[in-house]
Amino acid sequence: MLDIKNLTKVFGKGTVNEKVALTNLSLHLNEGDFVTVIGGNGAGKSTLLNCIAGVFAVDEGSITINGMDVTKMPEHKRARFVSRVFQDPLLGTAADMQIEENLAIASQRGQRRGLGWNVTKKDSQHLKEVVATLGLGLENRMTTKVNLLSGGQRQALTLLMATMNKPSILLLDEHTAALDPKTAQKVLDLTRKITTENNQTTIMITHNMKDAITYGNKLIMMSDGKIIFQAEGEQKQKLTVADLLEKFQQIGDENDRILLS
Amino acid sequence: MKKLFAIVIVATLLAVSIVILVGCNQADINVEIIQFGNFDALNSAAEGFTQRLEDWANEQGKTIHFEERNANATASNVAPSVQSAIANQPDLIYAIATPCAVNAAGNTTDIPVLYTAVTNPTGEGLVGQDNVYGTSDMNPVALQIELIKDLVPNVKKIAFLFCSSETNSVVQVGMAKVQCALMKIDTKDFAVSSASEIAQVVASIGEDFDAIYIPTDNMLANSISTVASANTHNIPLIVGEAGMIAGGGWATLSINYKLLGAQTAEIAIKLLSGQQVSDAERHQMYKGALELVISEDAKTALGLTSEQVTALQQKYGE
Amino acid sequence: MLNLLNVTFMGILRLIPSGIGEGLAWGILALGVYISFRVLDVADMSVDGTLALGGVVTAVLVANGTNVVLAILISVISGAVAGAITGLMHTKLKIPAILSGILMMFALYSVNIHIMSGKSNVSLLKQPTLLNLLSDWLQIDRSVINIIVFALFAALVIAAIYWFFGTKLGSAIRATGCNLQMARAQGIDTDSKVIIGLAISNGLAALAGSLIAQKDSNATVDMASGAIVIGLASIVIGELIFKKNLPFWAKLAGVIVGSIIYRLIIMLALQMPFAETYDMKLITAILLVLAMSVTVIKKRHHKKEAKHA
Repeated sequence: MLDIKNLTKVFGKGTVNEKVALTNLSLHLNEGDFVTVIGGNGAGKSTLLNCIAGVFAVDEGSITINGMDVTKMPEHKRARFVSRVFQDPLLGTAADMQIEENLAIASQRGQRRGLGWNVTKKDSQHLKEVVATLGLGLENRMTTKVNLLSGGQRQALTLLMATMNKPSILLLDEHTAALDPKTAQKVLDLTRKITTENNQTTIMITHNMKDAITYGNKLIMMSDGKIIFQAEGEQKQKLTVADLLEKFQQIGDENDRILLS
Repeated sequence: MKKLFAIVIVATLLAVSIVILVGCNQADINVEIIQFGNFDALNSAAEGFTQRLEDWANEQGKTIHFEERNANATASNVAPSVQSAIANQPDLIYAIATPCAVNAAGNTTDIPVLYTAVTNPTGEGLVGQDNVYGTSDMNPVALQIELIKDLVPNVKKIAFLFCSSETNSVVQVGMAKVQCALMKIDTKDFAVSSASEIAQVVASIGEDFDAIYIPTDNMLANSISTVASANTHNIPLIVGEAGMIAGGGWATLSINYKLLGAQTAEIAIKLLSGQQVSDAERHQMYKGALELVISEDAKTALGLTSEQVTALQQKYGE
Repeated sequence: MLNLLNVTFMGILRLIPSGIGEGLAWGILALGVYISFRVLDVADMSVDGTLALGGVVTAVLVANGTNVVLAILISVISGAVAGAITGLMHTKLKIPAILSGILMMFALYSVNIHIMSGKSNVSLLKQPTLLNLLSDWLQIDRSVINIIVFALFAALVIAAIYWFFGTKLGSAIRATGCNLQMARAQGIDTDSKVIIGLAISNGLAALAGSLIAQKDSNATVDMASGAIVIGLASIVIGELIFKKNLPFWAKLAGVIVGSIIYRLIIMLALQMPFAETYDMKLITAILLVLAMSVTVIKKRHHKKEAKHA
């Protein structure tokens, strides 16, 4: 499903600021896998996601999705298979456009955007039903401009837009970190609901160790551009936050943003 | 890689410019001409000059080369043109119109600079510098105001339309006001600072004005059709020189710029022959005849009979 | 004193039609600037060049016998091509947007003079321009024809823009301008959208140039001086006059209205009894400040009322 082989990414090659963000990283995901990613700052988690999405070109290695080598594919073409939810809730939606316009754009992902009308009456009805599945009442405000909504509502919409077309891979980059605890929980619940319903292959970065254990069927811990620990299935479920902390300290990595709960 | 590319480009450009520069300056006499804009008047001044000099050079059995530069009526083009001209080390520089003359005079003290089509050389500081000579195209402003009175006998109020940043025009408007005061005519200034304002300013000239006067102004000369087009009240449009008639001006009493150019060429001939140029001959006023030009449409609009036109021509001494 | 006021008042009334005509023609330029600056969020400085390009192409073609409608079409296309090239410079050569626009403006200066065969102006007096033709055929005064024709063009342009930005392609362009990262994440090729968007905005600038050249019966190399400032001022005035969060078509109409108001304020400044023409810019600035402060005071007043209510 997702096959990453020997991925290496270096920033500022040959300069004083050279930083090797990813070193010879390999990862395999089967369809339906939900893997949580944890690690200290600078471990390379976001870089990994950005490489999968195509925002960065890689220096070495390959990325294969569903048997197709996408290593050299530009970001906007790759968006057909890879969708993302960013940490900043304002980044996932176009502020000046309406809810239904945003969703229409998401639904056209991968298609040619010609001179056909963006939101036809039929589209409008269909999109309303889709938004209703969020259970947030937003289906009654389809023509409201997105900039009038709260961060949590916008993030929920971004999540919907990212999963509407059932992409091959869903990338979640600390997507609840900027939300208040109550809203964060709601968005995580939605995440679980949608990914389970769709059997969505997902990678989720989180700084919350408890969430990392609770959600998903796989867990990887990164440090210094490498995967230093992996757990799946039962082994993962049996993990405790203390186990993970110990692992961190074993590698000598103090993280100042660890949330203990 | 990008750096290498940039260096190659710069080197090529330098090489090409050197080749071009060397390629010039092959004739016996080399003259750099810097013309402010592509107007009829300035073109005629260039033509009159080059023709006279070419004839003289032929008589002398010498070859002469003219390098022509045009600033396209844009102030920021003048300095680079002058620099290139000076870099060629010509035998003399012929600067047509004030911006070119002032810039050239300010940038060289050994190459002879001959100016023309400058209304007020003294005011521009062109007088007193050793290497500067030229001819002024000072407008017969007073006579032009008299012409207005002849064409519009009941004239009580004249609108002056000009570009506020052209000193030529400001000087001429000052002189026009003096003449109008003598003739007991009221006046009002309509100054424009950029081309996109012209249409609206002209539209705001009310019907209570009996005539519009435009001095020899470069910006207005370029946009004379705009003025004519916006002149919905059909107010008589008297202009400073003949080149502005084709674009919509009604009438003028004009200097013949070709003759002016030839007059300037005489100074050049003296210099090139190694003769002394006396102080009196350095800075000259136009010595030729004035031309009365009235467009056919204007004759109709003003209701002029052919006898009246003939009478005017006799008065202004054709 | 009363007579002075009377003259001034009559002067203002008399000049309102010409102010509206100017506002409508330059309003089309403002719409072009709206598309690049507001919708696409690109600071495109090239409109000074493309407006003149449109004027020059129309003038040269019509003066040489080409049908005026065809001339207008060719002018618009040439403006669009220039805009597309600016877009290419910015997206593919990674030249910052402002610089790309300035480079295009420089390049067009030379191109425009070439088109005029080295002259700095082309006269359209008595040539078969759209305005002259209609004025002769319908026997209506030129100042009235100007308003009718320009209003028609403005309405057509607004309708076309409104339709276009409701299509999938148009929405993709809006998304690109609104949130570049999101657009790319949604599979939009943002480079091509920027190029298309700039092509449209510069095509409009060229259309405005074509109409202005016909209005003035003249195209010059400096006819567009300060165009971008005029365009931006019109947009800002329009936004201040009307309340926020209007439907898209109303925002577009607001740009045209802003342009007309801008011209009317200039006209007002020109009619001030005690001012010389070179005071015009200062008076325009003062009047604009007054106009802005009225809207600000109005908004504060509404807020106070809302508090007390």
